[in-house]
Amino acid sequence: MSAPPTFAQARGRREKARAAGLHPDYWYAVEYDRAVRPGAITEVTFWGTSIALWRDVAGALHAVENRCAHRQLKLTLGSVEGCRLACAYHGWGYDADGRLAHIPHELFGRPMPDVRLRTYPVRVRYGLIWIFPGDPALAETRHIPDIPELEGPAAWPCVPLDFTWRAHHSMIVDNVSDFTHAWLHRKYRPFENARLRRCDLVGERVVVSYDTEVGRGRVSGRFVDRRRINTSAMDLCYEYPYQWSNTDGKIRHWCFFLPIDASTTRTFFLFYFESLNVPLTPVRIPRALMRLVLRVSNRLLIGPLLAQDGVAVEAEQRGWEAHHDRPVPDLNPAVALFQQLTVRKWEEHLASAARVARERPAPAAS
Amino acid sequence: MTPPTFEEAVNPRQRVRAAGLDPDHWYAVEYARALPRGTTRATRFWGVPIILWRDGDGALHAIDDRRLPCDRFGAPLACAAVEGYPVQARYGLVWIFPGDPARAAHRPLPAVPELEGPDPWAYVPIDFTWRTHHSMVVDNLCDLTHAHLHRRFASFHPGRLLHCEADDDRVLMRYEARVGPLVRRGVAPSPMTICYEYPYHWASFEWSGIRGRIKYWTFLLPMDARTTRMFFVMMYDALRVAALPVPLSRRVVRWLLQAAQPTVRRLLDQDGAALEAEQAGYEAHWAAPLLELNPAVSQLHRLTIRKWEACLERAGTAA
Repeated sequence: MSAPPTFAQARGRREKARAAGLHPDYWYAVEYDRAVRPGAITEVTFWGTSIALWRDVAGALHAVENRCAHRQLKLTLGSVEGCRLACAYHGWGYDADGRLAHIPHELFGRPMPDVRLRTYPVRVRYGLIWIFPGDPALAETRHIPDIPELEGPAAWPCVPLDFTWRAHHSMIVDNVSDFTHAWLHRKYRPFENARLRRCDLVGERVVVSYDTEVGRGRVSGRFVDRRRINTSAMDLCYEYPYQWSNTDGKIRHWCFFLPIDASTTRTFFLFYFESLNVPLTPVRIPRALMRLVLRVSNRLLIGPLLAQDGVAVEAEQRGWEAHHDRPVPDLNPAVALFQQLTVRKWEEHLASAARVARERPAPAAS
Repeated sequence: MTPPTFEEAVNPRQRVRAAGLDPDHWYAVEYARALPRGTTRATRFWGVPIILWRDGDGALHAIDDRRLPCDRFGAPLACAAVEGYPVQARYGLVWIFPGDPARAAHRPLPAVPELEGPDPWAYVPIDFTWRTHHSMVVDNLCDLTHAHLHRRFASFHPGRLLHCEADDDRVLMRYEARVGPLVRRGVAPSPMTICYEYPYHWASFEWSGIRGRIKYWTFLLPMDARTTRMFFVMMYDALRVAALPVPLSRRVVRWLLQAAQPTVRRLLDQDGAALEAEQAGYEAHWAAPLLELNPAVSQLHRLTIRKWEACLERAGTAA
């Protein structure tokens, strides 16, 4: 049994999509803001590249390539010393700019080495830490998606949840936007009897609309205020490299993907609701209680629902690795568009990376 | 991409990290007490699987496991007439000579007089198997700039390299350092001699504030290109603490050292964690530019590389 083809070897749209990475010139959610306390370091991997994410004692976040220039140990094994990140072994300390700023032992009469590690732009938004893994010069021109409902004094309540699945990111994109898998969720019935009304690839977006019955679950359905919300249709969008859904402007979600490597993806799900009903009554749950309700529903309803997707996409990944050369009868035309966009963006990235490599002088062999 | 082989290597670090250790030396492979009569033990030397066993008469044997005939249940046939490696027991360890057996008689074991005679020094053996190249272990043992790693232990303070000299077979370094249980600010540093006496390592020093020599040997067993077992043989003479009226006899020292064993192990575990991380880092970033400050490290690398080149040349001539 052969391994699935690489992107260069891939023939056809699906093989290419399953080998493609995500374009690094975007902002990627990598961790919860609250998960990295002052003085803490955590390892983040973007498409096989290891990054040390750390917060100095003053509270500022930094992201730097995860290796000490001396003996190449991962800096995530080290410690935060004030406003420097120190390697565990010899204690070499790097400042916020990735510059080697401190060596705690004698220099043997040599000058302080002039070393600078690659750093990555970092931002915090929606309670998440975002990193820009691509060309830092582009970081200012690209934007973290604007979600007006999640900001400002009247922000809708939102309790994010996340999963790390052993599956390629393109399988998760297919999963979250292709509603032909209602069967998988027949116990929770988040959408039923979906019929694709339209799907279009425009620029960097695939917009999909379904006529479907939203939120028909025996328990979850009781929270939905059907008098105010039209639950007979849903719009979805693969807004590269993110994904969102919208039901009548009142029930929405965003997915943010972190492609850890070719078969591992972490996904942050942000569901937000304008309001929810107290079950069996016409009364809306007060805003002050919404976070608590969402926390419970993440645990009892949304989490288990998404865990079903996790089981399915992980099984799909294994199936792909075993049977990648089998023909695929995909019926939903939206899936073809998702894959087309993923492939095109990755080809763009490879082309620009090749251009940069051509323009940069070859590094001298030491 | 995997790190380059010795032949492909383009700089000294890549070369030293691909070098083996010359098999024409004696290598400690096991504790003698770990091999009672009628038992076997498996080990490896630079990728070659080796079976050690002690027969019913108490004699030790070591043989290339790939050549060992087995009975139909897989147990080695101890009486089989297969030529094994020269093997001997000394200092509580089993030693084998994995190279040309004809040279074994001319190559002495490292001399450790402290462990012989009627009143040997107090001796604490401790061993580790780490997923790391042997040259990284040698760097670690000989380069005292990694005090940061042990900063939670009050017993180890930065050393300063006073002198470093190298000849064909060894690199000798003199440091001054503050080490031992009495270390605290104000204690005068004591001299420390460290030697990479190919393919072994030893250090000789006194604990700061305590009279009485300490010497330890490290016997490395390069199991393969990224796995190294090491036997630390730490020996202590009678110790004289200024505050105590009488010196601590070797018997008392031995007892104290047994009690301190878990602490010693925790300290060396830190080295193990760092070295395994260094091995992983090297495998990921072997092409990164070189950055070494301690001139002793370059000398250590040069010796390991030169010895391995000579070894390959000999093997080439023989072939």
